[in-house]
Amino acid sequence: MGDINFGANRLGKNPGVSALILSSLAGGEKHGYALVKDVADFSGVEIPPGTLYEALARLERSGLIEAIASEDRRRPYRLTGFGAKALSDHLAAQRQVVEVGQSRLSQGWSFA
Amino acid sequence: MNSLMTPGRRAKRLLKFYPQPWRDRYGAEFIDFMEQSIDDVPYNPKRTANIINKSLKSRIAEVGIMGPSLDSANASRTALSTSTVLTTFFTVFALFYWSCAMVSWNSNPRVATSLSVSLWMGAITVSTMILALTLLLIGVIFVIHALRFTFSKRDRKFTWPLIIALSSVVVVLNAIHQFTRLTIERGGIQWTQLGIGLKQVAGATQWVTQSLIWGPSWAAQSDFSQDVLHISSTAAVIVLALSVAKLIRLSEFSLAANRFGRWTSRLLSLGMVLFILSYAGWEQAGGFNNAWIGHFTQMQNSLFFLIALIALIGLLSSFRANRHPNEIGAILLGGAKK
Repeated sequence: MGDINFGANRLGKNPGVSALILSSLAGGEKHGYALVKDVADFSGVEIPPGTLYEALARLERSGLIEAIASEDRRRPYRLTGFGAKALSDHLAAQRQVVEVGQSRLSQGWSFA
Repeated sequence: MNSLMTPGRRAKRLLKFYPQPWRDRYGAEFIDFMEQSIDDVPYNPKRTANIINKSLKSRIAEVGIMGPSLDSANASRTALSTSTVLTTFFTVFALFYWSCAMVSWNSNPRVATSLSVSLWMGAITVSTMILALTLLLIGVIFVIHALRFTFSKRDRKFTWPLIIALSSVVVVLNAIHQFTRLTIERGGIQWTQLGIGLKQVAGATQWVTQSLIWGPSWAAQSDFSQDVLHISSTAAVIVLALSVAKLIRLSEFSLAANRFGRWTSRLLSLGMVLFILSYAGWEQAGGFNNAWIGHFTQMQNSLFFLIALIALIGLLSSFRANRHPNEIGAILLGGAKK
């Protein structure tokens, strides 16, 4: 139980959006628009711009991601080691929730 | 009109909703992002609403009231400047309410004032003094710092806020002089008799503060020079608070100054809370019962709730400073390697 909370807490407020961003950056560095497109491709979730930049600022401040210096207007972001660990903990906790939920559903529910 | 605007112009217009530090940090990439987003989906009210919502949150965070500011390394500077503005408005009201209580305290020779009323009166006086003297100290420190910086380093960043702050001080001092002229003409404060002297100070304070609070609404009811005095003195207090806050925001804080800022903003917010509690205690103990002045009007009660709200915002602002995680915390916690 404590592990689940710990995993979510390190991603801060709105862990769902944070996990999507970190999962996208786990595949390599990306700038804002490429990141949103990637998240939409693998999850079907459209992150609006205000929410995206709020989350990027929060993750950067927490040291989970870092901005890469760029001459261009497009500033890419990459996952830090700490961010990878926090994402791994979060996904492990989520996996535990998925396993428990699926096992309980399979015992008493049937879906036509 | 909107259809004629290019994606770049629309993006720049949306960027203006965000505060300056945010624009400095994310402005270029945000415009790039929005240009591509507008190219893909030209009109999306949900997207605009999301930006307005998040930018407003960002503005609130930037003045240190809730949520982490982008400038989290200088959170105490943000907290101090916000507390200074809030406390200045609060203190004008606090001085008015203190003067009402002090004028009415022990004023009926037929009825002795109870000990509890006197104790609460003491607490009101102490909290008001803490607020007024701390604000005075902050003003003096930052004006002297700005003057020294301007003359020694020949940097002009402080020049305009400094000129505006000093001009406001002149207007406020002139207003105090004008509003207390009656007391001065009657021979001034009788400091040799402490009780009478304190009542006279309270009377003069009541006249000055009620002129500052309600003065602008009295305009056009008296002669022109009085109207100018009432409106300009209220405006000068507001401008003075904002210009001192600007001096604080422009100052570079050392580690020691960060500590000073954090603790001073906390002292100000605790002073405000102490005042509210003391006044509530004074009223509950029957502070008004022995007085020749009546209970508060509905308007005065409403204003009291307003300053209680200011105290609450001040408390939130000062105790939220430096509570947010940063990169150093992340480094200490360790992480994975690729």
